[in-house]
Amino acid sequence: MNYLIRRNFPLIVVALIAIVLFGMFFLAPMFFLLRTSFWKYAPNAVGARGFMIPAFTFENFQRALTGTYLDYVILTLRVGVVSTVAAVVLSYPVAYWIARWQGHTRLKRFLLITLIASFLVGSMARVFAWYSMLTGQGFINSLLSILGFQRFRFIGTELAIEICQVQYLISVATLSLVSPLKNLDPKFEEASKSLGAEEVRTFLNVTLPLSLPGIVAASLLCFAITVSAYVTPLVLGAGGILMVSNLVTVAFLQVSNYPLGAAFAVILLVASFVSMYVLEKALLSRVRT
Amino acid sequence: MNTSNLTRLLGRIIIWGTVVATILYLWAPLAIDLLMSFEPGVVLRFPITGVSLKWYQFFFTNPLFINGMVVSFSLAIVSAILAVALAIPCSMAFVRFRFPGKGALTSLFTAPLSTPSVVLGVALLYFFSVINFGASFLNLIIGHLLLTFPYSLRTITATMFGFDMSLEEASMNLGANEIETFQRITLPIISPGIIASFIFAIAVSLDDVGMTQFLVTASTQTLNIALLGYWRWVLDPTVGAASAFLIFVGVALTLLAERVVGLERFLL
Repeated sequence: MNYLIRRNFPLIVVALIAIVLFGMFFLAPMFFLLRTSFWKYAPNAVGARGFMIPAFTFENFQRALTGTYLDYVILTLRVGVVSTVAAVVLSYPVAYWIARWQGHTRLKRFLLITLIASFLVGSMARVFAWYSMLTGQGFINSLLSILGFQRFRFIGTELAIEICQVQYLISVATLSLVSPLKNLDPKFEEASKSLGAEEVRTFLNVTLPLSLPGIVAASLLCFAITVSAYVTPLVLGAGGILMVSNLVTVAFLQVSNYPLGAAFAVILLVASFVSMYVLEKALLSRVRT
Repeated sequence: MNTSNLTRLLGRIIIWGTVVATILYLWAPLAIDLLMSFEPGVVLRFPITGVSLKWYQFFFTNPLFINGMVVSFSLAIVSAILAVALAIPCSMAFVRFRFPGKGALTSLFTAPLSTPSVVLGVALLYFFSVINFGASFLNLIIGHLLLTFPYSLRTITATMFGFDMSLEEASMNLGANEIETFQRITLPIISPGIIASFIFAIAVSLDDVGMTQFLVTASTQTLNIALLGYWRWVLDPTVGAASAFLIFVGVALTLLAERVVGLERFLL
């Protein structure tokens, strides 16, 4: 008996985690959240618990996807796309340099530490650092005014959110692009060169297409991270700009419309899961080829 | 030949340009934030009008923030320890055992990585209220365990894959039992992965706001929640000092990871 427990200890732990941590505190809450998103918001109903009554209605989703709310959903997707494209375009050359160029070991090491530090520093420090940079009397505005330009109100614009988000995404995108670029078989590049193509041509016709799955994977990861950003739009949007995750908070904590909040949460979850699902497919197809 | 040299040069300029731009983009805001946090006045401004530690003094003596730091760090350490302790046997099971539903369980255990933390937060808040689970520090620990466990699992599983099983077999052949073998052979070999995953778990837990905001009570406010609450009403250089402190913590964690495990392994 004792031997059996010792031998199968890892399996016992897996079962415990699956049932207690994930069954009870992940799947069950998600189920309740999903169920609530179909309930009816009824702030004045007699006997309603938490301003809602059990029902099966799509009106929360309808409300979440029309009018001003729809504008915020579209804004979230737009910020996601813009930040992702900017981050991947900036990260690709850097990842290419780390993975495919010889030498510069010390600089590469410094860059690597920079990328990981930027990742570990986290969203709070980053968002307040950008607040200092972009505020009315901040660094960027003082620079603009010294150069003779007008001061610009960055805080409360999409641009501010994107600038801050891209800074975070660069470390995510670069770190995830390095290994696909490193694992490219050098044979193809050599073949291209020996057939007379010069460096840039080889890059455009061989390296870039071969690294496309890695680009797709990095983009989806960046997109999923950005659409679920919370602190960045909260602080740099300064109330003027809300993203879907902020709407979830507003609906739950400020107006106590749980069904609407749940609907926003489900929308956010779907956006994030779809990109992650596609990401996994992209990774699998890369393993196969 | 001439145009080929020109495109080559252009390629070089693009690469070096982005490398330099990236380093600047990542460090400059942190450095400038640090500089601006020494502002003596009540408005964050550049260039600063003097040099003073007044906002640091305010930040490090304010009971709101001190309490927040205590809550944040104890929460991060407890949930990181739990996450690592669960992830070690779990990754052993995934790497070495064959059992039905393994694929599905792997997806389930890493699902919180693709779940926005705001969503996890509301789901837990609502669930705790449905089952009448009173708000306490335990709720925060459960929530943060869900956030940190997938990171630990992934990092430790990656370390496990490179493990030479014959070392364990040799140990068992020489008469050690499973527990002795684990302590003397397995643990020392996978320890870099364990330390790395512990550091990552701490960073993830310290940084979270999306979920945490739904699970805090008045007495269990984390530092980030306290800071956001303060920022909502007062716009003074305290946030500069606070983010300088958080930057210091993040950089310290990175250098620790670099010293203990070496970061090159993450490049593979």
